[in-house]
Amino acid sequence: MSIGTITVLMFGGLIVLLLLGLPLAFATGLIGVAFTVGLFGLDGLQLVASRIFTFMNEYVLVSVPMFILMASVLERSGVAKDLFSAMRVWAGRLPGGLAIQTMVAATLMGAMTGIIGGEIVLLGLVALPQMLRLGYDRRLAIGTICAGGSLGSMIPPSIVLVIYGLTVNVPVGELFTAALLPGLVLSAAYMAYIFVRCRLDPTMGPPAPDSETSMPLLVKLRLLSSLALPLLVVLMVLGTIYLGIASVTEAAAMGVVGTLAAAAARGELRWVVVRDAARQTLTTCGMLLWLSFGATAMIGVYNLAGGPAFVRDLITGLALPPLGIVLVMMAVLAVLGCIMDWVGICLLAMPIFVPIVTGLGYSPVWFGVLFCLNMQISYLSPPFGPAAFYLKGVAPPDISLAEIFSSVWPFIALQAVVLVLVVAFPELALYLPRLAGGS
Amino acid sequence: MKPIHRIDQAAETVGRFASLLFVVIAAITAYEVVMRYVFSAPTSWVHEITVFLAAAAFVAGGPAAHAGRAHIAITVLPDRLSPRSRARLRVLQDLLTLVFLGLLTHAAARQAEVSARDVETSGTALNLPTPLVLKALFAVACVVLFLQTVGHLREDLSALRAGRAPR
Repeated sequence: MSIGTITVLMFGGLIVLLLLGLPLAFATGLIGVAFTVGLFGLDGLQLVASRIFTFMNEYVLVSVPMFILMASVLERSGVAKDLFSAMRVWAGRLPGGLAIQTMVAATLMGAMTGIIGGEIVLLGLVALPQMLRLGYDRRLAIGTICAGGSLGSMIPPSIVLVIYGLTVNVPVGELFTAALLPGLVLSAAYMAYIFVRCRLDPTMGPPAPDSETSMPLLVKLRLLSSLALPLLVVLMVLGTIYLGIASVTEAAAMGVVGTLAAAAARGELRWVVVRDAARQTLTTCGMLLWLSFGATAMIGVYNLAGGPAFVRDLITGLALPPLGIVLVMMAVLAVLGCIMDWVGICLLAMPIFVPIVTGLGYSPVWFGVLFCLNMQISYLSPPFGPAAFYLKGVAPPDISLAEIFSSVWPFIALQAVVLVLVVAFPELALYLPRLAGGS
Repeated sequence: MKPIHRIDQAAETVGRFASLLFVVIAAITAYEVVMRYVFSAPTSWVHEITVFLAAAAFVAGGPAAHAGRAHIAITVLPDRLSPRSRARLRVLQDLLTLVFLGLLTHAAARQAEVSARDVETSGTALNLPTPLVLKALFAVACVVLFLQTVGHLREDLSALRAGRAPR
């Protein structure tokens, strides 16, 4: 069987299995083991087992449950809610003020969490009802929550970047530093969009009545001070990574301890909080890791069959300039993002794409930021848009999945714009790592 | 979704205990950082133990997630089908999953067997048999996943026979 046929059968088969509704973990795994047996016999399966074993023993992978645990504790404490209230109180009568405050709060939460889901649920429960009550344009409000809540995995720390770094062997700390500026640019683009829309049409984002925004300064300050400790934890975690004091895993573990300490200081540390947060972490990790096992099996056999060389020839055969190749890859990732989870995409596509990209003389750190931005699109794009599903779970019943998906388009466009910006100006991603003394 | 099979319940119970490993990992890693920076006395065991505990928890997480059928899937197509066709599709999914898990179990069991024959150890300062334990745990998890899926298959078959939508 030629490698071309194998490629078509493997990826075609994967798409069919996914559309049939087979969980991603089992679909990728099934393709992996079936092709291993078909091409290399039953003994070839040893390779699958040993790849999975190697994967689960990566030290940096330990940071994944730590970041998830940290986020789960934060969600269960009142910190996130206070953050939103604090932002609300401190904003004036800006057009679209409440949506912009939601975005500021989402960005700050993004700096505390590395995964999407919890943040969207939280904003959906806290911010969405407020915006709807003030008579905000529904689509603008929904889009704000979905796009803002997805920032969790763009603004460092980010689980997406941890897995990317692991897959292509790039220091995760450097990736975090590189993603910071593009993440903030994305968040600023969202805010600018909300501001402009509401400025042009004030009925889209009416301000809150004065009675709600006026509050004695002392109360405002008290609200703000309750956030000092959690924000300090964030600074501590990210600071130690950026300054290279602790490894990413150690910083994440310190983040867990710091978050627990902050919750304790606020009088919110109860056993149920820790227990439920740990349980949620286990389920999330169980899904992430077994999906990784499946994907690593599939890409392992594809590598052995000579897949990467085939794709490289295919792409260089397109006779495109290097930048054109990068854009083609981005398009492929965006399409994959419509039907697949980011972990699957990262483990399947990056081992093939990144060597080609570095062969063209580009930085794998820069490409990692592009990948991360691309996955922001995948959270929102139908039919498989996790952000929409998370919001649907907590939104008022009259908000349908179709309405959510129809609301996110402007934000997907903004994500694409920022993606193109980082492609055109790689310095957006590479300036800070160089400043921090990276490669 | 509430698990109705005993094996699913067992997977969830094990998962509940395993989830506490993450808290342990956070605690001992923080201990290591403090020992290193405050007392300049880095430990020799934290690194190895954290990797081992995390891997063990990851392995346990698979069956725990499967118990609630929490593994991510795209349900656009199945959602459009009639309850009966959905049940039929579910049966097909279960069968395909069984093929995967059967082959994976074979691979995992062989791996564990080879590791057990040599009593494989980590080869580090601690030289613990952690690779052997992990490989054995992984094989057990594969068997559990297989049995869980058999349970799901039986349940989906009875849904199909009764003509109702699967859970």
